[in-house]
Amino acid sequence: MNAFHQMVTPSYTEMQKQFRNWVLDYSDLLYNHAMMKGFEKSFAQDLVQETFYSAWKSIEAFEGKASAKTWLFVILKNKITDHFRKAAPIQVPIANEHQFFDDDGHWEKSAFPRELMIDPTSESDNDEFHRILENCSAKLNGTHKAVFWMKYMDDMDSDAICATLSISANNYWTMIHRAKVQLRACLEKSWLMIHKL
Amino acid sequence: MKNISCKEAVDLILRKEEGKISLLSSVKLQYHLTVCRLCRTFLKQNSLINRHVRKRNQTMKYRLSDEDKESIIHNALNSKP
Repeated sequence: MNAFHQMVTPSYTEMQKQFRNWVLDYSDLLYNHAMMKGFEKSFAQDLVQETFYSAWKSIEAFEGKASAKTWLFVILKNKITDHFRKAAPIQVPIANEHQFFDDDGHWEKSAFPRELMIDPTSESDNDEFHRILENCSAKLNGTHKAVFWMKYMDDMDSDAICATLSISANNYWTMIHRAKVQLRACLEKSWLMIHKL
Repeated sequence: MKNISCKEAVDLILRKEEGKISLLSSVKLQYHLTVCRLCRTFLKQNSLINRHVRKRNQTMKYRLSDEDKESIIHNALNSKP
């Protein structure tokens, strides 16, 4: 090793210091992201731990082309995708559609969408709606949850989601449809129960 | 033009959100929405959900304790790089 090489190669202690800063700077963001996807507290912590474990193992491969934050999020999201893949074999679950639509595809009377009257300028309305959203999205089944969060949290489009979960486009549209209709019904029920409209 | 069912309309609303809708389907959807109050309400609720999910993503709600962070550092560093 020549003198120049020694100068630009960070020492082990420097790498440790760098790594420590990454944990201090980004672990909250990663943890928040996992919690927002509706995972249990202890599982979200495990995901963050595993993310940093993998990051440290491959720290020398990190070239700084993307920011460390972006790099860490890629690792975390891959771990979450792996989890979704393993947790439930991806297949279109048989949900009873009849809860929402009749045989002709018209809204069932019990599932008629109703106005929610949420005041977008009211902070308490917004907070309350977020709380309900959290409860209702936690109730989605595994595969619906995976599709829903990838689309609305990670802003992935249908092609990317189908490729990631190895599902067909038709399966995808069926799942996103069911997830949305179920979520909407749950939100409406909870909201109207509180506001007794 | 034959009117589509509400179930089909919901499907098209979700496809439109991604820009994956043909011109013909788009026209069918527009027509359905002008005659169906229920689906107009669904459309409104759908946008409301999307807006709130996005907004919620940007809020920082959960944090790790200092001890948790130290233990993450400790556990990771005890494996060889």
